[in-house]
Amino acid sequence: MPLIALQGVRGGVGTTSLCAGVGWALAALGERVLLIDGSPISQLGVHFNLPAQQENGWMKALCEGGDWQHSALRYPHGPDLLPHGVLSHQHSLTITRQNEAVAAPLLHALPDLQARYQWIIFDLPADSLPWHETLYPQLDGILCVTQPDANCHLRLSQHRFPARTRFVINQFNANSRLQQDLHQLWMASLTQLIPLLIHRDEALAEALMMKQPVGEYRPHALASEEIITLANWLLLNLKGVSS
Amino acid sequence: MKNQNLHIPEADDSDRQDDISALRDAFSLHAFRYVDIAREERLKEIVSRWPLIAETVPSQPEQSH
Repeated sequence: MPLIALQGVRGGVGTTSLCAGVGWALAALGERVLLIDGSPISQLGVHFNLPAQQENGWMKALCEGGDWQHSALRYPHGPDLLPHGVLSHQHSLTITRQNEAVAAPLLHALPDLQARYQWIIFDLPADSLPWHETLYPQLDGILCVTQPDANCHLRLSQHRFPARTRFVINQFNANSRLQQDLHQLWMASLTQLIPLLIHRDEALAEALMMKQPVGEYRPHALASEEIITLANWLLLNLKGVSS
Repeated sequence: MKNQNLHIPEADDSDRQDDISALRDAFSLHAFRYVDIAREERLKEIVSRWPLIAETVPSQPEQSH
């Protein structure tokens, strides 16, 4: 069953909101989904009504020598969730500088989790952490979230992305000539661009403030319908890629 | 600048123009090379409009698939 990650080409392109939306959409389409928050900012859970001050999570548990399983949560009619947890300064240094083995207990459990879930989706921060290097080879696909602007275009033309990376455009503003131009250019030149768009939509911006995935908060918003389309694209193109 | 992700816009017509490809296959027009001139013109305009794009899009043909 597919194990994938969403990762922004940079921060601020809406990766976490999109991750919550895709997890919700796949669950709405009848899939068993586990979302894993891989970001030290630990905001994914807030989309699923966790308290803003919620500190517990799988990474915090592992840093403190505990079990990651105890942080798992179930959202009604939605995906299951492993929040990241808010780390102490000392533990933040551990995961950013030194210890890629810190995530090993969860990463070793992924094959077993894949037998239980139809989709496992990591929300990863734009800046890679050492433990990601152990995760990347296990992934069936990476959705690199990008937005048509100069900053993202520069990063796309400069960076080398891991194998099995596909690009998805988020926060598209159809009134912007620059965005229209970049969209056309990327459609013609960016290899592995997923041929659909998520438009800039106030509903998506409001969803986090409402502590819900956008598909639950505004099911008929443009972004919600486009995220359902993305979920269907994933079902057609990535389901069945792993055994 | 070595560019890993962006390839030359004009180089991948065969993938994008599915209708044309279907016609070509249906009528065995394999020697026929379809060029969407309007699209190529549009891409040229985009590249010339924005200096940063002109700098980042590869100008020399290279094998990208």
